[in-house]
Amino acid sequence: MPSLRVMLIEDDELTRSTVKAALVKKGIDIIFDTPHVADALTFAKKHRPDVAVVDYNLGKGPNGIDLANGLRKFDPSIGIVLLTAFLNPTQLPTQIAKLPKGSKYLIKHSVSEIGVLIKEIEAAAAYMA
Amino acid sequence: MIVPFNLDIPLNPPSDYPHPSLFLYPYDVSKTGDTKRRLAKIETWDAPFDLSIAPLLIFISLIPNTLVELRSTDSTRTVVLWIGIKLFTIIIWFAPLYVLHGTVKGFKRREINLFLGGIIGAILGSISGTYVFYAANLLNVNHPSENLQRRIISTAIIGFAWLPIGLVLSQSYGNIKKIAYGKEGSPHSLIRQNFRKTAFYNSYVRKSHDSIQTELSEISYNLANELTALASSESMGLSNAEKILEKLSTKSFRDLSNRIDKDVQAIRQKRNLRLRILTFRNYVSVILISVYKDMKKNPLNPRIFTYVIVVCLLGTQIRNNESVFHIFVFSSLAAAVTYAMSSLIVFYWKKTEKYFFEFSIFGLILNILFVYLIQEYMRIHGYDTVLVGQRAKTTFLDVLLFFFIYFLGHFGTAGVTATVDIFRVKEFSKIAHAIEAEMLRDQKRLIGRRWAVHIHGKIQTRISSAALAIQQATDKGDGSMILKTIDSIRFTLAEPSIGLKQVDRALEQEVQTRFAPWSGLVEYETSIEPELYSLDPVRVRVVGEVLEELISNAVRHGGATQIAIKLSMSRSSGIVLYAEDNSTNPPSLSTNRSVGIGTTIFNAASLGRWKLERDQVRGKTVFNMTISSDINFDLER
Repeated sequence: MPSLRVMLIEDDELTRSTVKAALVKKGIDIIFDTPHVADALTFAKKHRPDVAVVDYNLGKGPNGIDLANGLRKFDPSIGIVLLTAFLNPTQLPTQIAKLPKGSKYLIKHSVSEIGVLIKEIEAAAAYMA
Repeated sequence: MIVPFNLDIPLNPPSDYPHPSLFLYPYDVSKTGDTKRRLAKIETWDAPFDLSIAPLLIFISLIPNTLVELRSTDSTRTVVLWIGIKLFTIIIWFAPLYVLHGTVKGFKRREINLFLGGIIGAILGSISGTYVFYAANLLNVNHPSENLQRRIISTAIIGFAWLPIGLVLSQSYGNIKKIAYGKEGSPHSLIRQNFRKTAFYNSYVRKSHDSIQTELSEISYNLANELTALASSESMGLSNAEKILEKLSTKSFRDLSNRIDKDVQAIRQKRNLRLRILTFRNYVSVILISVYKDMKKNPLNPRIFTYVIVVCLLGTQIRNNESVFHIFVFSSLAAAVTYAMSSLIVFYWKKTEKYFFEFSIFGLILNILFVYLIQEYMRIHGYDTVLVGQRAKTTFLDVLLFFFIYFLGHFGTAGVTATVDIFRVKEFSKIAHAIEAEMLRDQKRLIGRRWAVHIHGKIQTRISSAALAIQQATDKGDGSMILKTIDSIRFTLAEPSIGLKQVDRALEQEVQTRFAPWSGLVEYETSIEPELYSLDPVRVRVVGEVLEELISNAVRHGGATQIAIKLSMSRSSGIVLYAEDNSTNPPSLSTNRSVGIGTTIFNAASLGRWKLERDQVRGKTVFNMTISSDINFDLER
């Protein structure tokens, strides 16, 4: 089975580089990582990754859900994994209901257990496969 | 002892968001369901006899009467006895009123109610007068010149004067209360029951953020210290990696995050208390404003004042056997002062309207002074007034009496005005809704979007990432990677407020900053009039906030892929923002009446002057807003 081609969008540099390194070590092919929504969209249009791992909070402007919906507009088969830091349901963004179908939702704290993230990436990739 | 970092974390609230003042919500919520139903109820409510505050009114009405009695006494014992007698009189006054309540309420005509109120007041006054006379005789504290007939007549007259006023006051009170509180209770009971809790609420948010800051500082400080010690120890290397990983447990930060969640919930629960207390404040404002509305309509008709002062003085005169001529001169002069002050305020109404409270206080002081001067004049010229002989000592009580009469007289006028003028009450409802909107906005803005997101999203994420990085470095045997990660996380802990700071920008830059992150999701065109390039930072941020909401709404709710905006300057009205987008699912909202974060921001920025429309022909959604030039955003709140 060919390794999954994953795109990582996270605005925090440390987190991005750490998660990237951990995924690469586990055999995941991180073909692109960026903090910017616009760059992610441009890249995805050209290279069609299997899965996008997207942080919910990307700073000012669009959030991870906006990006996920933007990606699905031109690539209905792309898998989406949304990362968020919210632990408590009262803090969950109300927009979570607008995540594209088949998207996976992961609390960031679980990311330190990289196996959990890989499992979700594989599940997201299997959505349209 | 833990020494916190000197962190520059903004306490509640963050200063970089414009915060509208309370009264910047002009949208008409009076036609929404609940308020409409309440107003309909008020407009058909025709029985003014609401006795819920009758005991209070009667108690207040006895104060001038008691003062009159006090000045006829010459010993402390007598004063104490008189007060005791008066307190018992209250029971005689209001107990039968409750019995008669149902009977009087049956009459639908206002005039009949008032007349009946007067009759009842006179009867009760006579009874209480008789009671007071015999009680006073029994206790040997009667007035030297008094007899039973004078006591009955004077008390009946005063009773006839006060009771109808009580009815009118209770009617307007009831109307406003129903709109403001529904069936939830009266302002008095709210004040009594909730004052402490509400005061607690006011400091609650600040305390919450204060403690969050302290906890964050302490946690960060301890963790940074421990990491530094481990990193600088001689045995630093892979052997310490496990210890560092242990230290990087994010439990403390998770606990802090959960604390914020709990605070948010608690503040939501306390919101209603604050809303009620602010509503009560506005209820008082309605009454005060009504006084001047009445004066504006009828400058020579502060009728309640004259009514009360003449009747009270007449009653006193009959009892004390003083000169009828003098008492009428006295009343007329006092009334003239009132008329003169009213006319003055009304004549300069446009200038005085904003300072009605200050003028009111000034008027009171002036009136008191005038009353005092009249009495002095009469005393000097040897007239038989209350200032002659032993009663001269009670001049101060006289002043208090007229102070009280003046105030209550105007409140009576306000009651009449408020009763027939529902308009003010409608405005009052709008303000109440605006407060609620403001509170919702406060919570989401201050806690949901700033503190919680920052601590949840940034600090915890970095620490989790650091833990992961150290784990990887340990697996690889890469000691330098561990040190690098520790440096990184220590930097984060030393500056936990990073990311909460905002910078001022020029308008053009602000617009680009707001649009740029959306590129790829939406194409945009901007046009800014050069005149706006030097716009002040406060209004630049307002425009930025509006744009942020506008873009996110168009993309998220309307599925827009193209947005064009134009910002121009109108000398007469302010900054004009025009925007159009190609939403395929345009919002059904065409007015500015719903309450949400977006609409609240729009209303605050524009005083309600914004419109969202669908241009069916061109297939565009069009947004128009005029941002007020003189809008007063309080950045410190």
